[in-house]
Amino acid sequence: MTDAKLGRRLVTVAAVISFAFSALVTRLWFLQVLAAEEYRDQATGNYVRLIPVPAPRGRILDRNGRALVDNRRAIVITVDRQKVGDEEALLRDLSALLDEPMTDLGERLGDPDYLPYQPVPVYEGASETVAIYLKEHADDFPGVDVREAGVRRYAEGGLAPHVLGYLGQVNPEELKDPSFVDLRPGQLVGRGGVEQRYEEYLRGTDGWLKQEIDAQGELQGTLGVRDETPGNDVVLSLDADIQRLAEETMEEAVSQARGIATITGYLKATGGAVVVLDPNDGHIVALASYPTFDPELFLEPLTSREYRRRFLLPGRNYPLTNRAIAGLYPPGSTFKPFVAAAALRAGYASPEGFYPCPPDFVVPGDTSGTVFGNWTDADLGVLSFADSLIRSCDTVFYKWGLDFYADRKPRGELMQHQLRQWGFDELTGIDIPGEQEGRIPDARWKQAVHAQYPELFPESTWLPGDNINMSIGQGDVLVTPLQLATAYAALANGGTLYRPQLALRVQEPDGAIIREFEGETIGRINVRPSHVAAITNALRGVVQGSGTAAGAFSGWDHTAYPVAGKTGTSEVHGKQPHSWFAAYAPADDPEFVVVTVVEEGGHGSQVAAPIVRRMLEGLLDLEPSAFSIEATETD
Amino acid sequence: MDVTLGRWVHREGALRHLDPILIVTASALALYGLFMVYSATHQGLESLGEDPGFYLKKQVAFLMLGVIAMIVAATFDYRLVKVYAPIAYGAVVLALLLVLTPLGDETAGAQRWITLFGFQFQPSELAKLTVVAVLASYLSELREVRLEHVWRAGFIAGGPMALIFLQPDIGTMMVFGGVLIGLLVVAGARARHIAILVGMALFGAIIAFNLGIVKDYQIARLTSFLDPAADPLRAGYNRQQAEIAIGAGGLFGRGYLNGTQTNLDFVPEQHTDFVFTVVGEELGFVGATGLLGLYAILLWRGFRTALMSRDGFGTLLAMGIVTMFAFQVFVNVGMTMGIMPVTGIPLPLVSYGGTSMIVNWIAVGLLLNVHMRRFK
Repeated sequence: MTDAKLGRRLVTVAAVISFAFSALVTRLWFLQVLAAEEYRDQATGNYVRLIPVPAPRGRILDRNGRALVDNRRAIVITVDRQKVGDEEALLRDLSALLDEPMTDLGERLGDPDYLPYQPVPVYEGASETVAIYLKEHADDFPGVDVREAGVRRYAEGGLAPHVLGYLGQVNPEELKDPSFVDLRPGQLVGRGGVEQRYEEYLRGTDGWLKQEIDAQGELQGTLGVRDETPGNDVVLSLDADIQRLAEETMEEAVSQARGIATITGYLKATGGAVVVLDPNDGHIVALASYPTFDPELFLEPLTSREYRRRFLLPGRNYPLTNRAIAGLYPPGSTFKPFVAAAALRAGYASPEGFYPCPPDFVVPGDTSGTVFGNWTDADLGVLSFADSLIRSCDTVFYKWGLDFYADRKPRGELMQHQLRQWGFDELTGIDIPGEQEGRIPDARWKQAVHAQYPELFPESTWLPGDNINMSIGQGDVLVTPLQLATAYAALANGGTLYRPQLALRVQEPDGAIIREFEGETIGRINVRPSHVAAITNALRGVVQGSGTAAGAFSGWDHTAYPVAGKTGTSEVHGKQPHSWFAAYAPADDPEFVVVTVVEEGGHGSQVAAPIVRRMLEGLLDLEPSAFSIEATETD
Repeated sequence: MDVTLGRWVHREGALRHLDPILIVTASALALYGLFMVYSATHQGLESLGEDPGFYLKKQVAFLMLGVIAMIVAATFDYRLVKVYAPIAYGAVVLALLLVLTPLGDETAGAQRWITLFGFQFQPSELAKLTVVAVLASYLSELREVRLEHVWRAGFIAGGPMALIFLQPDIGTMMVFGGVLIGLLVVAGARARHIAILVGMALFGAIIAFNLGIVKDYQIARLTSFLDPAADPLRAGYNRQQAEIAIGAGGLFGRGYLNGTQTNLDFVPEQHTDFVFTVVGEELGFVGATGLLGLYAILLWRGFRTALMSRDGFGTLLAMGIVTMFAFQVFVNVGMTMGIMPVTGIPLPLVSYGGTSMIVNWIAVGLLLNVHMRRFK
């Protein structure tokens, strides 16, 4: 190191350091003296905290204002982690008091979704006794608090769970969605049914308490409050009484059906559905699916084992599936009114016509030996147009199906086109999620499935037999019970296709109406009034005299309460037939459409028709007859 | 008689020529630190159900170890440092290499610690003082400081700097740069030569940024002091909350243990790198300038020691320590007030942390050593 001018160099370094220190002091002066006020305000803002106040969820009411779902208060035990001394000791004491495994309580207490100063709910549904005990022994349970929270209550005893849906915790994906922006992790949202579809109305806006805390984190006072806004009520067109009748009748019918021996053994009756709707606006009065489930099960999270055991084992018959909107079945003969309408429209049939009903039908010129049989071996002779439906003669419909096939060159796929306008082969648009589309097969579909599954579908071209099978609602035709009900509603009202609708209106808790749901027209069917009248007239004959459902309606006052109906017995390879019945009443001025299917429930006249009869008795305020399955096996 | 007395004084001179002001000042700073560490940590520890004095007790233990280290560092003749500095330098470089291997412990995205014999320590803290000693030793041997010597000094400091940069610990690396420049000035290097060195260093830094060696979060932290409000929950969050804490203190502070920013944990790392915010919030302008005043006294005593030293090595060693303290205080306090980038530098003698506490007390011991043996 150079010794010359050492002093000057040291002073240089000292000067730089002095300058740096004066810069620090200047900055301190600015922050702490000149701008202190502003910073102190900001620091104060830091010790104001927000405590969320959950808003009660809206109720779901039936058309008469009866609550199907409302809320009950449940006692919730929370733990403030900042106040707990010995966490393990506390968990041990709570575990003993609540009879809940310590590990479960510890897991909930460790939930990372809660901020350090937020009390964590560790137990829901504690008894009043436990709550009082905790309050009296507060010193022994540091940081433990007891509060009340709203939990879903199924006021009508678990009625219509498929329609109502249930609640589940919001998942991280949904939290990114803008419509869930004000939700916190762990909050509940609708899952399935009305709960999901009308989430935006049912969910309220949480309030908050703005609290001041001092440097020790102790509460000093409340600075502000935003009141919670309860969710709005959704009023459904469902009628709780009719819904209950549907569910009870279905259960009764299934249990009786399982006692009927057939050549394929006892009927399995694995499930079924009942749809009741108003043909004049599409509003749904009852929508039942069997087997059903207890929505209370979803109030607390199920383990995956429990879930599988209850809902996914084959013997349980998949109770979570809403068969009314998602069950796909061939409609069988309940399809015939629409095929008849198509044949009338195409000119192959006329209301005044007569048609032969032999036991067998062979495509003229076909040398392959394929024979299409009627449902009965008897030759029914020549039938009028009405009798063709009343006796449900398959061979008459085969001929019409073949006529469509013969004209396929000039007229295209007229049969499919005519059938689709009733709403088949597409979603009805009902206001709950999970609906299935169904299928009206055509040449393009057949080619596509053949290309995809050549072994399952060896044939790629559209054949006469495809039209013939479709003419009796068999072959590859699939419908949901709701689709069939929607189509019958259009038949009942003379040709207007309404969107099936569950919600009537949304209203505030005090009853003020926020939104009303009118019947929505989704299509007008190209059908002549005279043709509709001819079909309705025929369907009135089904439930009396020589009709296929006469037995089920024996003793019915047809003059006072005219009913139009159609049986169906649809065949599925490897299964027992599905039992169908579709009806509307009063036939001269329809107010209700009722459609029922019982999976593997035998003949339409046996199981489904008696269910519909009982439903109509309920709807028309008649004394319900004792439910009994019919012995007659008609189509 | 005079002669005998003089001889006696001379023989026992070393102890008699201790610098009591330096000792008192350093102790006052350490004591100040104990109060601040307790204030910053007691609430958080209590809410976790821990002993609120946990960090305080550990810091007291570090302080006692530091005082012992100071006594050791002051006892032997400082000129021995010249002999042992190269060995220490080699050991420190080795330790810095070990930190980068899986043997090093990672905290908050940086590998800075190493555990030996059950003790966790930060080699980069040790490296600071070692580099000061090696540079002082090297520069003191030169008659004239030419450009080649500037380069060589640059390489001596550059090795550990590069290793610390890789941890990454840009704050400590900057302290090295400050010490290097300070010592070159004191040793008499030409301003032009120093400018060339600084220019090359900046060039190297730009390359490092462009090659992506510097991690994104470091760039964000270094640049966030331009506009902290633009990104309040990320890199700028520390600075903004720190500034609020200091500003909220006002002239006289909000009272010891009464800072809401402090107690409710709004300022992160408050017992270590952001301990100055506790001073600012709870003791105000008066307390903060008081703390800076204590540092000023410490630096003044160091500067005086450098002036009085009997040889060039003593002068350079003392000035190296002075620049080291000064730079750390300026960058640390400056970052809490938003005039310097946020980097991980502790406040000497005050921040919580064992290695830095012991190393800083050794530095104080070396200053005492040079001061005691100032007579030829």
